[in-house]
Amino acid sequence: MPFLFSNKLRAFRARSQTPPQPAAPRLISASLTENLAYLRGAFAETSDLVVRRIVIGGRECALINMEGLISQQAYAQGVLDPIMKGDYEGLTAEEQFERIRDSIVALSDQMQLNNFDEVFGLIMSGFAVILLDGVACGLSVGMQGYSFRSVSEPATEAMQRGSREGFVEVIRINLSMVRRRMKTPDLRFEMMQVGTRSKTDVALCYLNGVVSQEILQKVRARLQACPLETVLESGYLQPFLDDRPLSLFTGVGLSERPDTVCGKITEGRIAVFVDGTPMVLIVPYLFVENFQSFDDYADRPYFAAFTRWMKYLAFLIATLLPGLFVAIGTFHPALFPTPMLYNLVSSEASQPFSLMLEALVIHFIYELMREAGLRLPKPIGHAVGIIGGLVIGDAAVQAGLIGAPMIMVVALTAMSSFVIPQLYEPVAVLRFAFIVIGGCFTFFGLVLAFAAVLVNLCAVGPYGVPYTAPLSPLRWRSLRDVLVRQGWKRLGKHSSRIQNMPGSEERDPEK
Amino acid sequence: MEKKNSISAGQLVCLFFAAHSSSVLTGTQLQGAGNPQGLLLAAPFSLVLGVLALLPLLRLRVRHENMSVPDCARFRFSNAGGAVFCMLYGLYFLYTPSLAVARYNIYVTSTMLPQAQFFPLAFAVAAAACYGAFLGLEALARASGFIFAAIAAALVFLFCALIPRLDLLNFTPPDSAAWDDAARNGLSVFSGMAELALPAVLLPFSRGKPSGKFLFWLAGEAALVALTGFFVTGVLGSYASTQPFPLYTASTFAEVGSLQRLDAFYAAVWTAGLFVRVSVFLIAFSFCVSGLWGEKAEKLSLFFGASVIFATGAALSGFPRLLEQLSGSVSTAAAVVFFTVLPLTVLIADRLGDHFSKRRAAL
Repeated sequence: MPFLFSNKLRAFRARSQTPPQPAAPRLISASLTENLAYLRGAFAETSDLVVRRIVIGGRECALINMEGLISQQAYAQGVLDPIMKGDYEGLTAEEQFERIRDSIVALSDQMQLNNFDEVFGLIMSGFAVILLDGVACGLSVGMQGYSFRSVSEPATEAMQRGSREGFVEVIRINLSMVRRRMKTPDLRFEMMQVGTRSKTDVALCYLNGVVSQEILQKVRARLQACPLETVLESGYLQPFLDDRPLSLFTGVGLSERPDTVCGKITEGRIAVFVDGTPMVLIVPYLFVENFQSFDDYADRPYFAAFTRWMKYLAFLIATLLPGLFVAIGTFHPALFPTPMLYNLVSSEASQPFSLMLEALVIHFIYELMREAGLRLPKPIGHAVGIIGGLVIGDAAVQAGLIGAPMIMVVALTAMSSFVIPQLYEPVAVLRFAFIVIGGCFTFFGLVLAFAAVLVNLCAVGPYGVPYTAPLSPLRWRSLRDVLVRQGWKRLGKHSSRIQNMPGSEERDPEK
Repeated sequence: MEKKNSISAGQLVCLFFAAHSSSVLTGTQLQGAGNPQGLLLAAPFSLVLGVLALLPLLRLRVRHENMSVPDCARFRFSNAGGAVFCMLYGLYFLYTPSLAVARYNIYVTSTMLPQAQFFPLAFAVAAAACYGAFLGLEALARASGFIFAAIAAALVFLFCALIPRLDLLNFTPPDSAAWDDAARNGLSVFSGMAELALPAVLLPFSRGKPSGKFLFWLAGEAALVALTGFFVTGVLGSYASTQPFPLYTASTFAEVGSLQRLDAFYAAVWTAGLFVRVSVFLIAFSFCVSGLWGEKAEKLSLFFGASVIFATGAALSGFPRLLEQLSGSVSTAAAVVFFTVLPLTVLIADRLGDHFSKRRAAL
């Protein structure tokens, strides 16, 4: 029996390791009836497939599209009307098709199709397809006319100065926003489809000559190897682009702003646009970039440097303050200045819970309120914030359940975490972990845990570029846009490329 | 030992400096030094000893850039010779962090947290360091850059805060026995720098020329020892020789504005140094194990090594006298063997081997 089982296991492994071979696409036949029968069979009983059959020059023709995806006006004026009014006297089927393609249809985006895979892909992307009886090919005409959200200011990356444009859900519009800002032939968009079922359009955007070819090749290969059936959001692809998906920190950045994306690709990064989402992925992404915003480059340098240091401090406060407060308050209260210690003791003396439990409960309530405020409609979300902040907080202190200093700590922590929204996820998890560690393993445990997190952070190296560069490994010259933000006169002198960061595996041979 | 990852020589030096800082706090260099004022004279002596100890290693690096000392031993002696070197270094790389953990346990329980127990404390250090080592040398070296910066800032802050407390009357002119003391204290400081054994295994993983960086490191360490001696003597005077952790005692005097107790912050920063020390020794240990049993054993050996450090460190904490003996003469003997004798033996064997092979070729 055991050998039978092992044979089965081996066979199963062999099966699972053999990649499924894609079936050859079915070619378009010369018979229109046959073609339409196949098309209807493939789409079965879907209600949004529109097939308009007309007779032109004594020959049957079919115009195929998906309802709601095309502009009716362009369809009527650019395709239907000219085809119906065309002169096809004495032409063979092929000649008639060529005339339609070359002289009659007055739209620029045309393509000749040979198989049904192309037909399916294009009609579901807002194209109309023309099939003519007696011709073994089709003609696609672009006339996308679906409704979409208009370009507006991005909600997650609002700026004081600079552009108010943010990406939308339609990939082509997003690409045009980048192209409008980078008028160089070196700007490349590489389209591909990801998702075996959804066939989502994905575009790689980079500057040729600036991007590292090795990194580009890796990104391309990872996206092509993505085994997902459906890709509905850029977050689906993020783990496939990440080097260490299990780490707390990610080497893949996100942006909703075309100007930010342009800035990143100028430094040799690759932007990954996914159709259906305004969030664009940026690889490789460094830790220090979480503290930079586009406003920094519009503000005066001294103020940008000040803001940046404030953000570094906010990160430390958001991560460590509750844990530190618990550890010091529980094990080393003598560290507090004497007047503060008296206040703390008088406040905490009447509390029924330990500092650690207090901190855990109040942070849990805060996370609950934040989640509720996010998911609810905006007016109700604001109300939740007010109820949570004022009513629950005040009532808890009045009822003697939570100490007032703890409320202060939570409020300061919450405010600080909003300063660095890109790092909210790791910060929120670490905060809870540090509260528990500070409450159980004292101040020293907290330091050990923070050191371990630091090593975890340093272990991330997206595409061979150290995540913590240029701080560690250190390069003084690169710090001009990290610890401070030098003026444009100095910044503009040296163009930095991501693949040339200190400690990178892939270096630009020119450097 | 195949060279899988590489760090710069500067990162390696940061790593060593951060690792050694924990012994500054727990006062390894002050133990057996008598009057801490003697450290002022001992610092240059320890610098000379350190440079001399590193010479054979650096010479070996020139001759075989991608080989560690055990690799060279295997190349020159035989597989068995290489295995013996791996085993000896492996044991030393477990011995040193075990002592460090034990000393740290005693420090924490006798100063800041009398209610703390040895085993949870040792477990926390070993577990965190094991995780740090598991993530690899590159990650640890990068992290040590940040920890080095924090330690340097904390030291500068501490020394600045201690300046108002300095009393020049605490310094006495050196007497006739001062030079003997300097030699003895210099040896004590030298043997406390267990990081001097690490290049024997880690040097092939660094790129660039390490000589200048190492000199800078040793000079920095000597300066730190001298400064420690200066401030401890200036602030505490003869009272320092009665304290088990004189630098900690001095740090309790430091205050800035309304912040009256900064010692815990220094202790915290130095705890990060201990984390680096245990992690880097664990990594070095795992490299020795992979030299013996192949790369598959490398990751597993980290758990084994961490368990040994945890158990030994926690057990030794209960025997301060034994710990004192181990930190004294045993550590000095081990230092001489592992810093100098073993690399020198391999270097001599290598040169003789080359010489004889050339002669054979000539004949």
